[in-house]
Amino acid sequence: MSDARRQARWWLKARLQSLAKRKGLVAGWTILWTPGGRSELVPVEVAEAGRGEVTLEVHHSVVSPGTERAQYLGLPNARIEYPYRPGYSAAGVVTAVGAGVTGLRPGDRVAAIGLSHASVGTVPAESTFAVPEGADLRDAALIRLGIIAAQGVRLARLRPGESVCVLGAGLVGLLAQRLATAAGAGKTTVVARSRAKEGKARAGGSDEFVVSEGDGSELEQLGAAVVIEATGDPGALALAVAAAGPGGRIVLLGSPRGTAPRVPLERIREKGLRIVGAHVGTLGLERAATGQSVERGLGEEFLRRLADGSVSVADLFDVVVDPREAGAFYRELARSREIVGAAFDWLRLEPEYRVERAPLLRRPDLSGRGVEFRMRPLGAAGVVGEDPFAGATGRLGIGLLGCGDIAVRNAAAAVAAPNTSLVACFDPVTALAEDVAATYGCESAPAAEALFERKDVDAIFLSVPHHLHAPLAMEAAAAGKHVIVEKPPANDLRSAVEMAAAAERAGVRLTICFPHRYDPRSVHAVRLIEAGALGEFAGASVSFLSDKPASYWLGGFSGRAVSDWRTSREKAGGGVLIMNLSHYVDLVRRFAGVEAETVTALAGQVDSPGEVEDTVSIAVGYGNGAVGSVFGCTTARGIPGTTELHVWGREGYLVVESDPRVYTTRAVAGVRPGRWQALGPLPKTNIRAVFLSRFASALDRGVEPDVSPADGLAVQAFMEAAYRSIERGSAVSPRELLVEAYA
Amino acid sequence: MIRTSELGSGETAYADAEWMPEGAGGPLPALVVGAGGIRWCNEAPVPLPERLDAAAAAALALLAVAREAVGAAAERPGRVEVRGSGLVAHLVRKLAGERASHDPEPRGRPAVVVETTGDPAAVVEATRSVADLGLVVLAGEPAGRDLDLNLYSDVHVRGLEVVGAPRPLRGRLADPEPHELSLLAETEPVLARLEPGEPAGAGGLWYAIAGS
Repeated sequence: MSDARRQARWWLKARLQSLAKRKGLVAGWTILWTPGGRSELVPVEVAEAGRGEVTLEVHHSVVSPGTERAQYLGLPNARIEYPYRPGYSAAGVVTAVGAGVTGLRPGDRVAAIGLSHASVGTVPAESTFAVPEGADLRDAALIRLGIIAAQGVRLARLRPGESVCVLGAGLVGLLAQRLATAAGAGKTTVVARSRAKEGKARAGGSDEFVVSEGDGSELEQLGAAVVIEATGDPGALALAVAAAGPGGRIVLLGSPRGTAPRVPLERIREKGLRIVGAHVGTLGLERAATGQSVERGLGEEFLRRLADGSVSVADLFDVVVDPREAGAFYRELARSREIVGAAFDWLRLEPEYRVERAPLLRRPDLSGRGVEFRMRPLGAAGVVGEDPFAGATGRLGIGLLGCGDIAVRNAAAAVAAPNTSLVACFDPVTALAEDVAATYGCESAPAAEALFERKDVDAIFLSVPHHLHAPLAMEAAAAGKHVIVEKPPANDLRSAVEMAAAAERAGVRLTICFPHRYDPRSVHAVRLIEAGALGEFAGASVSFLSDKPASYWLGGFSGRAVSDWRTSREKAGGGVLIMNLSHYVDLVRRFAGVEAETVTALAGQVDSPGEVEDTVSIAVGYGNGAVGSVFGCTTARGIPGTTELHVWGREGYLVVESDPRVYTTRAVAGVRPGRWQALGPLPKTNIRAVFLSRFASALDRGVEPDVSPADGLAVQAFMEAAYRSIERGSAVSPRELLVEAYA
Repeated sequence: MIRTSELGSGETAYADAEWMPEGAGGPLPALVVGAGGIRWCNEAPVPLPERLDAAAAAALALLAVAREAVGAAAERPGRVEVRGSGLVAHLVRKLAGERASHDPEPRGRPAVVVETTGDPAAVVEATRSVADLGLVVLAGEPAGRDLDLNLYSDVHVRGLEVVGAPRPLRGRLADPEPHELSLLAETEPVLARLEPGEPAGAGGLWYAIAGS
């Protein structure tokens, strides 16, 4: 069923109920499972309490780990139909009471059974239990599981002092053990597959804890009067028979997932054992047969024991989950058998979203699944556009060295940034320098040295062919000027290392122009990543495609400066990798937060002049085990220039380019977990101007710039590793190359 | 279990008709009566009561099983159905009296099913045919047959109890109650006698196989 159809049905159903009861509607949020293992928080509306009903604002709802895990995985005897709302045990505060309900009023604390995980619900009053003073609401939310466990102890017909063996140290098993102990059981033993939960078992009063992984022969000596089977493993019946003494009672409390093989009939007869099915549904069967409800007594006693401390359960909660992170939680539950108890804490939602009045005439949200541009944020306000120049300080005079293709954009940026000025420029081709000077209002210097000597020039911005980066940077540094280098840092790693060392010796700052860091898409991506939207970095992929015209190789895209340096391996350092992908190598490094450990590359020269690659494919292995890929091709016919940049982690996925959007299972401010969401609208930003402005501010404050020499060297080392890998045909470590270059 | 070829001279094996699905040729659960007393298959023997001959002692042992089964069934009010056509089933029906009376048009499911065949398929059928919250008494011999049971649907969800009726031959053979004596008197005529290896034919509720 599509989201839109479901929403429509829910919308209609809520209103029909509201009209039938002549009551208003309240809105909240609920956890919903849809096909494909999706679990997310969605809005829900319920009619307020009618006759015999109670509406409550839920504070905590408890997860039944065994049941919900089995349902989530589609195990036998646990099949569900989608869409599905899991959960059946909660506690909260009454907000409305219907006619005919006595003993409850708004503000009372109640536990409720039969309520799916949701921030609000309306249930029959007979499904609620008053929570006595002294009982914690989160503990009381265990009500349903408490009744299940209590039913098991009751059907065991436990007599004081009798020995009890509980198979399974899950939530229901440990509850049953604690209730049996409170009911006067003698020696209690908990049996499990590992010692992981021994602490909890002993904390609950278990005298013994046995690990059983085989046929249960080690359990024969137990001779328990009562065995409570709480694993749900159909094969556990044989263990229960082994553990039981003559005339013993075996209570099937866990719901067996599958057929019990080779039931030991001989031994059941030999020992005169009694096996009792104790599914909680038998309470309904009993009531139908006898007209009496045992359930209420079991529930009230459970809550009374919580209040008087004869049973404590707080330690059984391993995890308290923000409902917005339901998706991430259920994935973890599916993976791990270590979670004993978990609860959703609905108090983590903003109060006004937890429960609110819903107008009857509100239109249904039929937007369906997919990108939602206008959504009500669940938490604080999301990431929004802001002034990228806010906080700019200082005043940086820039001398532009090189006035060719990219220099024009750098000149414009130096003029646009609020705390930089373009003082002067130089190019061996005088006309180019004079053009920049005239266009951007600076002086045309007679020589590069003249720029280095000017006192009003604080930093030299190198916009020259790659093989000139290092020598000119070293000259500028020796002259006491800070250095801004167009990407890449240099045409090879050794030159880049020498350049960085020279800047350090001279006591000047060196930075590399990687302006894509200031693209609003990248800025938002970093903020989302830092807020935990992706979780641990797991991979990234870059794909850059373009169709470079033949003229590019003689004069760049603008044709301002005629030169074939871009075709030279020695001068350029390489082709598409060093020319175009270097930006993205830097960005991925920024997003990942871990370094590339190995680089394995292939390259080709399909249809380009000179000595450099026009196609490259790189497989990247990261230090934390993540795997990524980088691909670039400049002979993709008909493609004007497009990049896809994707980053993902264990908890989310981010498309930075070209259609920026995010998917996360985490509760991140302004993002709805479990749904794709666009990052837009995004402002247009002069990213080079921001880059220069931030460099100027860093200099003014005496701090390291955003893009440090180390960042530049890491990118250079990555590219060098890729080129070496292409030559060798094997993986290369960027870190090892860097060490080699320093040596 | 025991093979009749393993019976010693002077020993006689007694088996309920339901214990011999394949006849007397293969291994079968049996009561063995000999000079040492009476025993279940390869367990230790207990002395025979003085006044009883071998067949009567065997019948008494089977009566004890039936007694266990009826005792378990007594916990539940309502109709009792007895499954099986051997001596144990016969004795259970007799001991249960009105509760197990055959009704050609029974209404609803029985509250108790006493299963005396030991056939795995019949055990499953017993769990499925008994009423919700009902009781299944296992009084049959599995005779090495495997039972795979969907505990969830056949026991757990319906709140059934499944009770094993043991073979109470611990230390001594219990004396019959006065009202049980007439039942024992009836058992001799329905005992069929077989030679070792002779296939079981129709007509016996239980069988005696003499040792060679």
